[in-house]
Amino acid sequence: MMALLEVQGLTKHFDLSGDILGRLLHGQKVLKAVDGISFAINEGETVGLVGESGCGKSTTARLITRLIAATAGQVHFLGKDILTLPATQVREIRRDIQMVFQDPFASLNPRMKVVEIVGRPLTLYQGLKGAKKIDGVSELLELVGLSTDCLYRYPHEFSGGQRQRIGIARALAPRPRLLIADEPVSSLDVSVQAQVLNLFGELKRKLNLTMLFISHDLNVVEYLADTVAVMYAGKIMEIAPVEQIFKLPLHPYTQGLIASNPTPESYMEQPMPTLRGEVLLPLNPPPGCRLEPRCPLHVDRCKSVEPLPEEKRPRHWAACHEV
Amino acid sequence: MNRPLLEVNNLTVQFRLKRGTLTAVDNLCFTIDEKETLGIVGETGCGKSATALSILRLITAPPGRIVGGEILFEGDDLLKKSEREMEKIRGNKISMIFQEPMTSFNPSFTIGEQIAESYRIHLRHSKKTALESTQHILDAVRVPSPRTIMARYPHQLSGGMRQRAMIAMALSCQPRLLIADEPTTALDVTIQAQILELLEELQEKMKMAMLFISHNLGVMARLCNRIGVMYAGSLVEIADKKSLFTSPLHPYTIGLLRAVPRRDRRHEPLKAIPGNVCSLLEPPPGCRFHPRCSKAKEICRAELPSLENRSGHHHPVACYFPGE
Repeated sequence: MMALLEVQGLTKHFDLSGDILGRLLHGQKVLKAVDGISFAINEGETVGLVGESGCGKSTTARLITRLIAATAGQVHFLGKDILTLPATQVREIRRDIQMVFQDPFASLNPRMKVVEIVGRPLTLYQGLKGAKKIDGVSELLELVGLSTDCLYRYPHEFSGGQRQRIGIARALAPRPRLLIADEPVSSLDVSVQAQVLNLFGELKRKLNLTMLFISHDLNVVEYLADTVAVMYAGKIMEIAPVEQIFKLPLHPYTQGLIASNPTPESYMEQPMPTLRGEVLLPLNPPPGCRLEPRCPLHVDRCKSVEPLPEEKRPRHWAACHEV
Repeated sequence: MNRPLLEVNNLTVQFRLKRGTLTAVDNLCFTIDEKETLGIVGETGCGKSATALSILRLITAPPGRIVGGEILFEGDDLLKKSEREMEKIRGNKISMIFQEPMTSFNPSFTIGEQIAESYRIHLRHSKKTALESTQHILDAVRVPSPRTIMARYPHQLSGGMRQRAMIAMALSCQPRLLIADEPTTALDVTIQAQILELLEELQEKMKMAMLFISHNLGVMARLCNRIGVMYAGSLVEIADKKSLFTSPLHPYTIGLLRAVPRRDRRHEPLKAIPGNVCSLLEPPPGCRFHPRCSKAKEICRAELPSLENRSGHHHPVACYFPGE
């Protein structure tokens, strides 16, 4: 099967050295936020990208949509490399790749009514105006579980969950081929979060949606994703089908992450094993494995030789010397 | 049976806002025994934090006000104490840790100075012994190289390290009761696991009681002996951990437990609770949960059910039709 999106060696380095004086005094400081990651998303598939804060999840989303420029790498989408497209063609790509953001309070224009927020992409990309536009918006609202009463209301009149639905309707308006959702349920309360997760599940089935779903919450990713990629300090540590990765995680980081995740079922279990030490910020990272300082399995060569992703089981890649 | 360490009776807290009076905590009752951990779980705006702040009398007034009730700590009503007496209790017999340690430390003093202050004020240590004690307590919360950390300012520490320093400060006077308000919410999961483990261990060692507030049922499951579920300012159910997870009675508790994605139910749609949390400015009449409840009947719309043992069930619940 041809992949819809194929990311190869995607890299983003931020130079934090400041001006020339800072560089001379403190040397060069490079934050390797995303450092040579590769993965693919097939048509109709949902890839969950999971990791802790600062691991480069959101930067990855921004690179794919070309909201920021990549340092290196390729992103193949519909036969083109997104990263080298001229600016005039980027807009077209943005129609095919839409995003849903974390904070539903910040991502909707407070001065626009719902009909304008959701209707604008319809006008821009499909040339719909007047009654046709309103019909289109009503249809989209129905799809995300909102009634047409909402058409002429402003974002502040809605609750967090409803706003996220509006954000999803807006993202679906240009009929994207790929939807990137960056922590779309993280700011919602549990009871409302479940409603929005159900909506994503339903849309996935109904529209055969292809999604890159980014979250720090393992439970959420496990619920929605078909394939899970685990990121740590700018690198992908493990990629596998969802059943595999939660049942038989290979990478010590994935194992630690799953063990650290408190769930109601764990109420009688024995103390969980934890990863020691602090989350690494990839600022001038050492040459070896980024998990090495925290890893229970580490050996000498982890310090100097970086492990590359290997297919350790069918369709199950892990970047670790010791598994 | 001994008297409980903390006894909260009919606590009511209101906030006067331009739009009207908001009852954040409504006739709340619960107790905490010595060495026990009570968890209070609930969603945004249910009154969890207002409850925690009331116990230390830290509700900002105005607009907030503790309108009624009593908070008995070791038999004395904290609401009747003078501000001076409260100052002796805060950080000494009862202390608190907050969600965001960055905003709870003073940014212009070093971590060492801030922790030492608590020894100097409450335990009247000299400057030198206070600094020594600070080093010991930082060691106890497993801060690597305490001396270096003491000389740092809050912004120079990572989130996990700041939370450790905060716990050290809270525990400096060996409190009888520690109130933890979402202490791990701002942290990454692997760091959260470390902090939970630390709290559990320290509680055992220092033999203190804990009031643990969180929106995360998983975290609760890990740490608490008993759990109270709060909705719209009141407790709707309270039970020991095992009963709450295996036989929840209130429809809201049942809903919350089902709303969390679970491994064994991956292919079913989540059972979301319909609707949104009710407004505390204009709460619905009767049971606050009835507009979202599938079992609501006439009586639920008319009368607020009280938290009590209902026939055939083993723990208190505020519902006329408890159980599945």
